[in-house]
Amino acid sequence: MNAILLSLMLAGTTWAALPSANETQAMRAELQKQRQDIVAGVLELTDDEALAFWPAYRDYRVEMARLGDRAVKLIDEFVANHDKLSDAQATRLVDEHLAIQAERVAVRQRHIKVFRKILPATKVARFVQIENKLDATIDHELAMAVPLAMEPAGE
Amino acid sequence: MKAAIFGLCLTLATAAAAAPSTCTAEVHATERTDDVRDESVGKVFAVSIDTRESCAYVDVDFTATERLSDGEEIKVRRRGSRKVKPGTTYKVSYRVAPGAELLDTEFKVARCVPCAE
Repeated sequence: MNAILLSLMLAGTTWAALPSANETQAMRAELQKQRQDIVAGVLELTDDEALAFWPAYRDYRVEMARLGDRAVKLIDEFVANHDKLSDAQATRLVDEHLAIQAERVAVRQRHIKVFRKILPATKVARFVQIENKLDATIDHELAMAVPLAMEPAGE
Repeated sequence: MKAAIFGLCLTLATAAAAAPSTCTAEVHATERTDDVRDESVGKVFAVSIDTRESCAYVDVDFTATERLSDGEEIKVRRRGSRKVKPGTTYKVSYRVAPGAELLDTEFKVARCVPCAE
């Protein structure tokens, strides 16, 4: 499992130029593809646990994927405008970023309650840990590719 | 010592008598017309169970693999339990997650136990 996680962490593409919308999507898809295998390797579920957990996991990931889609849209807009951001645009993008972060926490809190009815507390804790590690890997790759915000030229 | 051996034999005999016998069954699924609603697609299957038993309890696992909008591929297994006789058919509906693509489906018999006489 560690080998998979390591290869996943090393699999991130390094861009010489700023990523396009398609490249952002492709990178995310590449990192997400093995997500369930990694989570399964860490949780070591019994057959009964697996029957109950994976449908709940799927419902959880569907909601997280929607938020991920919003984040990718945000990054694409930011990358396209990072060197000419107006104050209003910068404020809106930061607010959207914070709203997505807050919703991620809310979705996770809601679904954790369901997972706790299915799995022992230690397995839920392990699940949260691996989720954090995978998200950190994806966030790191995205952060490496996203430039800093700049004011419009001449201001 | 003899009492211990007798006790062990008795325990094994009881366990053998209690163990349910198994049977064989095959599952066949035919895709029907999708049930399309506003945001999502429902896949509908006509499922038939073939068994020589006049009556059996059968567990059928349905596994669906979906690709979410972020590229994650999720395989989910759900189990349905039924009392069947030869030629039993039933309907299975599976709602694909909104924005997801259904990549693969599989039906498999997980357990077949003859009904008690």
